[in-house]
Amino acid sequence: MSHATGLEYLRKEALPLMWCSGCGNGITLGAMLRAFEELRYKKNEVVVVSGIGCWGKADDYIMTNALHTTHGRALTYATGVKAANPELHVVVLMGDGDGATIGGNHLIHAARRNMDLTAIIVNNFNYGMTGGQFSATTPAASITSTSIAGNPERGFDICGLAEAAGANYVARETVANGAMLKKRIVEALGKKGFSLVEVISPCTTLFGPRNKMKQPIDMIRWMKEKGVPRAKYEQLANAEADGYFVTGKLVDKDYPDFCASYESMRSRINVRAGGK
Amino acid sequence: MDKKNRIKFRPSVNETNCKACGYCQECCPKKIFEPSDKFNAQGYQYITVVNGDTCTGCLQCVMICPDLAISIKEE
Repeated sequence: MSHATGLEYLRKEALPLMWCSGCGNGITLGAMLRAFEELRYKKNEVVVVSGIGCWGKADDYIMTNALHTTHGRALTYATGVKAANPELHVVVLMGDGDGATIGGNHLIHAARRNMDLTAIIVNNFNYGMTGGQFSATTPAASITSTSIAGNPERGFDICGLAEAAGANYVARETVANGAMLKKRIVEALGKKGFSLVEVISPCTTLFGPRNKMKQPIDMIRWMKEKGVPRAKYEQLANAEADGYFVTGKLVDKDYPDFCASYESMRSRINVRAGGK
Repeated sequence: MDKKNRIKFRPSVNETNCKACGYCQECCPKKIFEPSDKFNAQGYQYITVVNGDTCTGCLQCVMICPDLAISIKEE
């Protein structure tokens, strides 16, 4: 086989995947495993830290080290893992509930601290596992089970938040373009410091049918139409009001990560203490 | 490369894992995927390969399959 399949990292006995027909979690999982294969990661060098929710179940299907944590706190556990052993590749799997709603504060501080983690936030615009309640990323006026006449709040821009908080790498892609998604994950994994990939994913059972997208394929078509590069987004009149969003690489910096800064501070203390 | 010696691609769909979302049907430029008239154990009319010889190996179906059910072998 000439292309990366990622199957060596997949726990095949756990198949079929638990997610609904057309769910973007499976696409993201596949892209991530292919990225691992392209980077030739060894299974014992990778730690996958997941939170709670549909996407949080992804660690069941991965053959690397895995840590299934409490809701919204995946980044805190991952910070601990990375600080204890900086040699590990730590990948944090969160949904929009984990990453932006309940764990929003952890996201800000992980980005500020510039921990060398790769966060993959699968944003499906609602709390899929608990019945489709609105989350912090649900777009304004969208129908969910707790906003039957439309969401009165605005949706969160996760990438904008991470950028402002100081992340080294931020990208947004949709599951409609799996090859590009894999490329972004490869870039994020290779980046030192906090890297975030926001994956726009369809919730084909709850969010789509309530918002005039009855079939899974309607959601993929919607993503292909609305996810545009930054240059095109800026040309469009009323892009935000029409529901367009920017895809692609949004931030790429090389600020020193936490582990590097920590070691340099420690060496200063050691020099003062006489080399001990 | 002439037609005879070109690499042949053999796409296949795992009947057990497929959930018939139809993404592969949508993205395939050669339209080689069709739903079966049979149901799998999960209750879906799984997708089958109807005209695999025309596959160009673009891998779009592999990249978009949410159930990791499609594989393409090269010959």
